[in-house]
Amino acid sequence: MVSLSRLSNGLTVIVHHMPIDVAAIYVFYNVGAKNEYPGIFGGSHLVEHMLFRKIEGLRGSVDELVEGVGGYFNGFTNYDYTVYVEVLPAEYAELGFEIESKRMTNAVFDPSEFELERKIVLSEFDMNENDPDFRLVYRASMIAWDVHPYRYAVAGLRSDLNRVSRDELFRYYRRYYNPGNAVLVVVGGLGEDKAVELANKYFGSIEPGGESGVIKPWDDGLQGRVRVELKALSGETPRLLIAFKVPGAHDIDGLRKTILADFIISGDRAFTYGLTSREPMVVPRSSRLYRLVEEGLGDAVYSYYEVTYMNNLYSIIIYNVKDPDRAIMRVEELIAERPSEDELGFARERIMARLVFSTDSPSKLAQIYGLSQLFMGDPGRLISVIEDATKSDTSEYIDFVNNLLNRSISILYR
Amino acid sequence: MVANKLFIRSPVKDVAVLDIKLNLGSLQEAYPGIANVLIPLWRMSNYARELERIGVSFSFEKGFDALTLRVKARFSVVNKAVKLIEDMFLNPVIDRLSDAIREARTSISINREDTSVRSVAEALKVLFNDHPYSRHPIAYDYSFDGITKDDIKRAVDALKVLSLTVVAPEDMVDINLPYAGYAKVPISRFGSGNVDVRLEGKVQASITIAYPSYGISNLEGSFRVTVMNTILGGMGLISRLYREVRVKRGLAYYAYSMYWPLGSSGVLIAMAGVRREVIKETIDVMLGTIGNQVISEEELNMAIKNRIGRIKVTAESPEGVAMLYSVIPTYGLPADYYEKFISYISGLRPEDVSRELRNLSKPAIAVVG
Repeated sequence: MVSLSRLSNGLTVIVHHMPIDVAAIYVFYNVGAKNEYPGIFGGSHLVEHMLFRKIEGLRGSVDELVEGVGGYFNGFTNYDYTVYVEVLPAEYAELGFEIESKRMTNAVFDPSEFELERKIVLSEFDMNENDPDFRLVYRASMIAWDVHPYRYAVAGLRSDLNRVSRDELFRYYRRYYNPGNAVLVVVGGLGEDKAVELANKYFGSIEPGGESGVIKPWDDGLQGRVRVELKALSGETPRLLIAFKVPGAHDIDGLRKTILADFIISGDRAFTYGLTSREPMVVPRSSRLYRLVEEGLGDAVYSYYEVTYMNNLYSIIIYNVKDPDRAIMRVEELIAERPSEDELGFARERIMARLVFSTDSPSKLAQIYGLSQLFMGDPGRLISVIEDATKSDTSEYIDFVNNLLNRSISILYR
Repeated sequence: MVANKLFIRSPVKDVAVLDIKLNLGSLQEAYPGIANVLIPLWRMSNYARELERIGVSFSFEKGFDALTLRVKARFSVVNKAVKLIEDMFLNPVIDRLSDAIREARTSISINREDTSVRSVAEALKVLFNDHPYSRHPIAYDYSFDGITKDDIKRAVDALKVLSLTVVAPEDMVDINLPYAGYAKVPISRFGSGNVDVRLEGKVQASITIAYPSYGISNLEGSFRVTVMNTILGGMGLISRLYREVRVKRGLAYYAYSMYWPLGSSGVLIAMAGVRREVIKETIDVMLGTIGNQVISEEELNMAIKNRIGRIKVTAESPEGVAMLYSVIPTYGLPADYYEKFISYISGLRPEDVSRELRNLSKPAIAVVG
């Protein structure tokens, strides 16, 4: 059973005990691309990199401490949040608390290390740019928003990453990395009392302060339908990206409808990929999107979608597209089609199965609880929204997708 | 019970995970690339659609030694799922062969756009010469045009299950298809040398340095190289390649190594992604790092603890358990394979790992981008 408590300095602590030899310790900070501004686009991600460098008061580096006991560690920067992860054999779980408490306050941002990390983040940017799908989605973002911070995605702007100073990002770190802006999630083989005791031991003495990363949801940019054409590099597979703006998690009812629409349109590929499992799933053949391949309009189709706090893009990519005009029209027809009871039943089955599969390990549960707490102020709410998606009916679906189709981006890459 | 089946009881009540390995890896294909075409032919069937309808998640992964079907189902529907899987395997939609070939070709061309995948494919071509391992399962430049309906029928007739691993609350799952043991294909000679493939417009190039190594049935050898790889580049941020290439010099976002102990051989691969202007510097740093044979006690102990702890952490989910244990029935490894692994590596000395580094032969080096 999941429990929630709050330390006197404002740190939210979520604990779920499971009878397993592993403990997943996740710390979510409410800071990400959404908090960036001109001059530091991509900075949240660079800060995350710096938090794997020198941290005062730790007995060793994060990697040595965690890898040395066979644990797994990671960090992810997202549109809305940044999360740090340790998955440890349960007997070493205390190590995760120690690392994360020090990370919250004691990162050094050594200037020479900062310059090295800047180069590494730029190299990551290069790696992303090597991928034509990334280039298309990134371009779509720039069309989807004018000045909204989602415009440059999480990767940011190369020019900002080249110029941003160590001091500016250190201030950014001090502003947002504080207990009141963080959620500690502990799932696995640690008892609830023990987890709360360790949270108090390591985080309890941290002074409150800094700022909250919460922002009021807003949107701008895309009105109507936009179509652009880009030249593909020689040897690359031609493709067509079609993207729609879908509601963010701030709009719980919109999220519920998006989930149902995703399971009808893409089977579950996009939702699953973006939520927890990062499984290399293909679009199911019984999904609507796959009909594009069945009808010879393309040779493969994928979709991408990630649950974010504010409205974001739901992207569909068709590879080796034969007749782009026809493909765009057909995608819109497929999305707008009234679902049969049979089709709704299929979507409901898969939603419930996905929910079971997304909650069967400490790591997956920690991710869901943390997201749910940040977006909805309740660790269990996201699970109930997913369950509620099965209760939507045909007319709700039709109203929802008709609205989506009014704002779209098509990018032909050939 | 057949020797190729392994059941592991799972504490997760509602979920069953199956790992089904078929004799359609790069090694066993009578017609190279036929597994890549069979995958869409299977997925087109009504049996596959019915699997999707009942909420079963499944994905195919073609490897060197097997084609794996990974299945995740609610336990209440797992027997129905297995029946559908059997029917799917035996009834590919052969009439749509040309569509399947088109899909397979597109999938390969997308994979080959990825410079890191492509660089591994190019290095393996050099390292394994004319052995089937020279054909990267999902990024080799297969010629699909000659595949006929008869080839597909023959592949289905010859279909065998190499192993079935079941992670579930109860042992009530089996598959009604013929089983076969894994058969090695010996390697006559390994190749070495350099290959450089330039792809227009890529901002970054990938480097792959590949060395021959022990296969999985050489338990002690593969255990030693597993620890060596952990120190070299398989332990995240503290491994040597990561430190030398990324942390100290900031040359690359990724720099790591992998060890694949396969059934007929093994391969150790070191990788990094960099801009063209620093390729030479990076390769020199990588080769220098791999060539450093001095192993400290502290480094070794950390690697050993890492490997032991990682087994526990990998097993946090049912699919992690299946991934970990499926090698046992596939290659006929001892049931206490991981106990043996832990016991053996716990007794390793620095010189045991140094010797493995010293014995590395001349590599195949591929640069793509």
